[in-house]
Amino acid sequence: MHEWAFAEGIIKTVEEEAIKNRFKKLSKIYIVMGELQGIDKDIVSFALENLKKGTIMEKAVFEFEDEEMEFECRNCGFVWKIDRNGDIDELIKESIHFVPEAAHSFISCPKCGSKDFEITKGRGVYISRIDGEL
Amino acid sequence: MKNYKIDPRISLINDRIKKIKNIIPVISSKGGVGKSLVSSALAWGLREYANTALLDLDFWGASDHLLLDAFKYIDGFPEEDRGILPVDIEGLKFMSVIYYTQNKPLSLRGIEFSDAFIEIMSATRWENLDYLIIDMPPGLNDPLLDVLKFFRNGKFVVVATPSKLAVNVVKKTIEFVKEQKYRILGLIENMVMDGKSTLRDIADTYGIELIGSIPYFNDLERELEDSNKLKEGRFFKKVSEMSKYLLEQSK
Repeated sequence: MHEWAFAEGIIKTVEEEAIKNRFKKLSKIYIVMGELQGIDKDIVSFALENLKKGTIMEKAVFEFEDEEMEFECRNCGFVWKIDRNGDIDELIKESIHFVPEAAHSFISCPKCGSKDFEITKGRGVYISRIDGEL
Repeated sequence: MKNYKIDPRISLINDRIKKIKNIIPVISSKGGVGKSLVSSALAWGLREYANTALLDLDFWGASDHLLLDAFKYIDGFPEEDRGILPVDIEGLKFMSVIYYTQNKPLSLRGIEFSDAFIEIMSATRWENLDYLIIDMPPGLNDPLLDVLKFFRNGKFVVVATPSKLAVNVVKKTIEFVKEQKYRILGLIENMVMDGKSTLRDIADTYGIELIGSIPYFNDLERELEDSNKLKEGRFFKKVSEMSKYLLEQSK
């Protein structure tokens, strides 16, 4: 599972941040899931619950927040999004799931046709907040 | 409470590369000098003696898959198992963005290259490797900067041709890497005509090894038509001999 890799990354990163910020105990970790990559939240959640055992976040809760995708054309400035469930075929969806930048091979600006666009929101996974006791 | 926007992939990269003994980016700021052929042939040669992988980082012009006939060894996407497993090509582990672009053009700006690089490096489970050969795109831009940033222990191989145009650029490549105190394993000279090496002096000037010289093979294009022919051909054989130098260096 690719999702498992994200969970491993989250655990390692939070452990490093806890040390850096001298947290003694962690209560809540906020994770933002970008819509474009289509990461399966249930698998990430399952993996996190397994991997947190024996770490500083053993008793912490993981809170997920979805972030909508947004593209902005660098050529004409048009802003748009795609419907992962309707606009694109499974192979493309899978490609973007593994490497979101592969979107540049398959998607063009609907207004001017340029492939020079920025994924301004909802690309992938990141940690947005860590709550705990110092 | 602490608010962030922290990328969880970075610490995973550091963790994954801990298990790799030698990371060898094959570089040259000049295009068309044969980095892909040299990288593929070095990796192919090394795999006979050591646990070796090849990463094609030339996202814009990926071509190692053609040299190795890499789609023959896989049906669909590389296997997922707590990350992504590199494709096994007769004992050589291989990863390329080409598996995710369905061979369509991929145009990326630098920042997007970096994101894709981080994605692939954090997801790919190379596991224990003796050698990771990285086929680099030309230029002193984001790919090289990312490799310098993430692989502090990288040992670089520089490829050049005897052409005056390539020599001028390769000097800058060597200076750029050396002044930042990275280790250069040596220089490989490609497309040498009539046995006339011009890079011996360059190697001596910069105090680096001239690992070897590859003659200009007239029939190379014919070998490229068939991956098996290429792997058995004169180019791969010549470069395989040079891979022994890399083995010696990492003893």
